[in-house]
Amino acid sequence: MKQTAILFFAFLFILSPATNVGAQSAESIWLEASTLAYKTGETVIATVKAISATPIQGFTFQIRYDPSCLQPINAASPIQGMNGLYLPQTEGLVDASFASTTPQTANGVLAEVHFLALAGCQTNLTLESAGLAIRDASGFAAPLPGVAIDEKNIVLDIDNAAGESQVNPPLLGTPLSLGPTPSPTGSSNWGTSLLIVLVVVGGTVGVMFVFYKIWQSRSANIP
Amino acid sequence: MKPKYLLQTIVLLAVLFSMVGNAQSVQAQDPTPEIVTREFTFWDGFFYGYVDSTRYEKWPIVFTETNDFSVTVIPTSGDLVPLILLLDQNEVEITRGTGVLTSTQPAGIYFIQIQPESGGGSYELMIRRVDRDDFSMEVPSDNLNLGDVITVTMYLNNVPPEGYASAEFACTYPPTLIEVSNFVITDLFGIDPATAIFGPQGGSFIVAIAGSNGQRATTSGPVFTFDVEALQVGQATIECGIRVSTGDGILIDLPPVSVTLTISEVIVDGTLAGQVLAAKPVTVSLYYPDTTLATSVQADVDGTFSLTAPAGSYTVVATASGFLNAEGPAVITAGETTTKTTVNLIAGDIDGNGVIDQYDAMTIGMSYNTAAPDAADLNADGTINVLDLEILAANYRATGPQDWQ
Repeated sequence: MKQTAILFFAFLFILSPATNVGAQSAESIWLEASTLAYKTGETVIATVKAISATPIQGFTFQIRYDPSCLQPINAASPIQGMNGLYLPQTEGLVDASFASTTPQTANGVLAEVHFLALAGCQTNLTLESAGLAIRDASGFAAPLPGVAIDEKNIVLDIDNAAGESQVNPPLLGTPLSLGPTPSPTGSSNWGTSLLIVLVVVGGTVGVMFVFYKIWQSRSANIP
Repeated sequence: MKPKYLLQTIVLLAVLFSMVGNAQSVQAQDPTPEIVTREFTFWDGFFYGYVDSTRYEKWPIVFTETNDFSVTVIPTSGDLVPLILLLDQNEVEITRGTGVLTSTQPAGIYFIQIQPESGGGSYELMIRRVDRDDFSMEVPSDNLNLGDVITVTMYLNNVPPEGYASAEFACTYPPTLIEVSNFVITDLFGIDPATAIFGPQGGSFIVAIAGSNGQRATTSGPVFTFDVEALQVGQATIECGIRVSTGDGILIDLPPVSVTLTISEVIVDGTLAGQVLAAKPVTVSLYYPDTTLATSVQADVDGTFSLTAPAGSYTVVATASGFLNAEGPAVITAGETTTKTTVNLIAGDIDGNGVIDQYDAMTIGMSYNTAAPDAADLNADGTINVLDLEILAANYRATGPQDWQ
């Protein structure tokens, strides 16, 4: 009997930590960097991670950076089927969103973001906002409620000394460019510019041709 | 006491008692009038009788259903002023009238008692069942706007075969709310009837019509018309009584009729027109200042729209699925068309939360190469794809509602 009681309490003791884990927030997002010290010209890698008990169909995050120190290059998600959505960027803020047509498990790396270290400085990367998304009954992307943002800030130390010439390390997943946004009307502007050039050139050639004809007729009239 | 004195005393007492006895006899002779029960009456018949201070007459009548009726007594001799009492079967008075009595009673036995209010003499009695529809007043509409003018028509209905020789209409109305004018007599009483119109003045008028040269109104129809102009906001009741005669010198009261006119402020509609451009069907809605919806309309395929609403100030909102709303003020002027500037709705607010954000973009990503939700198909080509994302990206971070002047 005494042994049974001991076993019972031992069983309870074993179970208690597991119960505590279950009571914690099921979904959270945080920002990580494996390396905090870089040299100018090197690629700074920040990782956005998450844990979610609910399968997701999208996520979004916004990372604040100092544009005098860092220049965002691209981002990618290693989650199968999670595709980057190319959206206009604003200076000083990486704005990245990914979506999938099917629900995906998100436990671990959501996305990896690459920056180019521009100059020596001590700077912060701040996860300003982030969210996991599900598809609601009407088919719209909706934020998964109750997602906590844990670690928001990373302090980076960038040495003014130039680092070794470095190729942008490969990303897991299709890279999402975080460069400047091309003008949505760029192609039409190019077309307009080309048309203007053609008109100017054509006009000039035409005028020259007229002058040439006049000169030719006058030369012919000279006895 | 000597026998002589005793005799004198007895004689004196006898004389005294005799005087007292005579006086008592006079008091007992205070005339209690005899009430003579006459034969049963029937509708529309004439009955003749005589009453004075010593003789009253009562006429039994039996109703098998509820009846509206009038009793008219015309003195034919003497100085009789007739008083008419309506009694129930226990001879308890229900109502009374001098010369004329009008009442409505359920089925039962009743008595019509005729007695002099003063004087005495012969009389002629007529009991007539009246129909509530014997007289009617019709208006084209009982809801008027200020300044509206309508024509009111007075009708005589259920005219008896012998016809009416004359009719008299007495009407009242609130002169502050409506103005009465332009009386036009019809030929219901024949060509060129004799007419007399008193008023309108101080909120009343009387119209009397009599057929000339023996002409009568023998069919039902309009008797006369008059115009009413709405002067002030409110409810105006026109109430008319009518008396008709079949030519025998008796005026029969018909139940009065009334009509209530509701006069409102003048509300005249105006039109708001314009054009809203979007790749999706556009709905344009007008809201009152208290944000309740006044009206809405779906714009045409080319985005043009036209809304009709009462004159006033509104907020106009244009909406399309997947687009930011456009919103602006709209003043509609009575009888005029106000044209709003053409507006291009901004595409990308797929979830309709008033901002084009990451979640709108993610909806496109989640629904890629499908057709639902429809709001995500921004270019309305039937497929949600990169072209829709391109449109959204062009308007990324825009917030609504878009200003629409």
